[in-house]
Amino acid sequence: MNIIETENLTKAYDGAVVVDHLNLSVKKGTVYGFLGPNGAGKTTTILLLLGFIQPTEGKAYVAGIDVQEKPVEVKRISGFMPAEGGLYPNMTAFDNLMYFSKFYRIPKKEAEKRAKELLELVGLKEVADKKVGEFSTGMKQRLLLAQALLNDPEVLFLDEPTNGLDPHGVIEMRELIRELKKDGKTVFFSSHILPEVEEVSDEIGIISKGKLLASGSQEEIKRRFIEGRFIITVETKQPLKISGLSTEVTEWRKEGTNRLWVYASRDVREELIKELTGMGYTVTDIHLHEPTLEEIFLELVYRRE
Amino acid sequence: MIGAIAVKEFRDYMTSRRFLILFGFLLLITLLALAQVKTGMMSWMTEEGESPEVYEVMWGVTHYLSLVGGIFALALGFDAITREREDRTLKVLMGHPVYRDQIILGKLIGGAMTLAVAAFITFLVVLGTLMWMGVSVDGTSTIRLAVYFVFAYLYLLLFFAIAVAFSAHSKSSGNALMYALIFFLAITIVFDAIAPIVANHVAGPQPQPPQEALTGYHENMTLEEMEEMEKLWKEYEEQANEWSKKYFETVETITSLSPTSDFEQISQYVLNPHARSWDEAVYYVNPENPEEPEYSLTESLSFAKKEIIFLLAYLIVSFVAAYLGFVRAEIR
Repeated sequence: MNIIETENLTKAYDGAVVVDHLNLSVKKGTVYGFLGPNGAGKTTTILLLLGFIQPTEGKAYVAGIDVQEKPVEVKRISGFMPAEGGLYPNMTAFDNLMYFSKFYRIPKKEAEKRAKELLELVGLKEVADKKVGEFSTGMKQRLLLAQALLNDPEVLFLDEPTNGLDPHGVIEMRELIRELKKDGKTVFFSSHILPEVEEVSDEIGIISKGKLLASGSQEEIKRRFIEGRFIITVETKQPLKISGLSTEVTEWRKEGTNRLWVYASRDVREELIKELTGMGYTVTDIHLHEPTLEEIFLELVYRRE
Repeated sequence: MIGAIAVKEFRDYMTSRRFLILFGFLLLITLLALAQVKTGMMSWMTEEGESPEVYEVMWGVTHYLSLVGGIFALALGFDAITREREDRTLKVLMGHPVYRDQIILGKLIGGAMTLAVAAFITFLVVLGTLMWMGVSVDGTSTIRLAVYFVFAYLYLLLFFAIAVAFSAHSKSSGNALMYALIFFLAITIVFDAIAPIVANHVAGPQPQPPQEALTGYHENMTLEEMEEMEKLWKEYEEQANEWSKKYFETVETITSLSPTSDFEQISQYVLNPHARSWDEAVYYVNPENPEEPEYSLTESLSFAKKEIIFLLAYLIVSFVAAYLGFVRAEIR
């Protein structure tokens, strides 16, 4: 079951298209990494999904609720941690959470209990009564996550959650995302950092210039990417001295003296072995090269421009 | 939810250094104005052996209050929205299930509560100071003073709402403050400055006394000549009255577009039980009833109804501008 769905979701500012006919489907209970370079349209997409801004065209649904029609209903079941979001510096961490809890009409005692639990979850229990103005960036990020969890949301929208965090903070944030997934929450998080997305996401969406270039699990994305784009590496015992291949390939190149890179529209490994053996070479290694997510990302976002 | 936002805003204002400094300054200016007027009056009042009336002392306060109070209210509200944008708290706040109109109304109510406290404390301080200074304060003048502070409160609220409206429409606090101050100066200075120019244009050239009547007098005037002279003077008086009425009505209409003038005019009527519509006094060359009777508060308020309507209209327009500015803004 999809908890987030968009249909041709489009947003333009003064004629400049920021989000371009986006068709997203995010399954319930998954961690969806929304990957794209800066200015790709990630934040705008999240703002559209939460009803902060109205789309120029298209529709968005969260848990079946039409975002455009009922943005407040969507916020009731969602949590949002904005990129570089701010908290009230003159209030303590606890008071900040208590203030936001008032928008959910949670009884005071229950809200106090929830605030304390969340402060413990994000590791801020000891500084609950400290004013947020005195917090470090990492502490503020953790408190921002805590405020997004106040209503025990079904869906969490995290916009660049590791921005400004030190390596230890990044690891902690990843751990928290995993914990949230274990609790059955859907986490939609945006990032421009590939390893981060790769490490915690069940599904990935790659966005560039407002367009969704690829979406699905890492395996699905890789499979779709290599479809019709086979890369084969061959190693021979003898140094390679060839000027051409009769096997149907789109491109080939030598690497060093014994290695060959072959690009083809289908799997031509058997034909290659036959041809090279026929030429008198002993094939010591041959395999289909599986592209990394990084290579796919770079190819999709930068090389195809 | 509006209540939660209003209470937070109220607490933020009351504990902010900005509020304490500005309000302290407002109180200081008010007390200085009272002392200044009182000192000026004492020289001749002591000779007469009477205590000055509240309205006689308060006119000086009104002028300062309209100026410093306006700036105080602007300074309180100019970053109501832009501060949330600059501190990046707006997106966090709006990530929770709260409607935009609840946010803006909460902010306006929070500011209104703060100004109510400021106006009430100022009223108590002024009342106490007047008593301490030996100004004759009785039940009626106390009620009139309280009503005066209700209008002072509405006046402050108006400028607070104007500041919030600019804050809702501006990208930064600096811009919002600049626009709000320019607007404040424009409406406090421009209307007063252009009123006589427009009035002169509307009323046309001022009628001059008849030359024949001025030079034609002689010792052996006949009855007919005397009657002719009287007729000329009467015609002149009628023309002068008509010109005067047109001129001052235009001035009054234009200045009533300024909330500062409206507040000063309302203050005059509310504080002074003898003050009445100045029509007779200013429109006619020879007012028939120069003595002003004592009017009830209701009558005094009825004299100022035009200015009260203008002040309230301004207040409503400012609230609507603040509301629409925020509700329609796109949060990126």
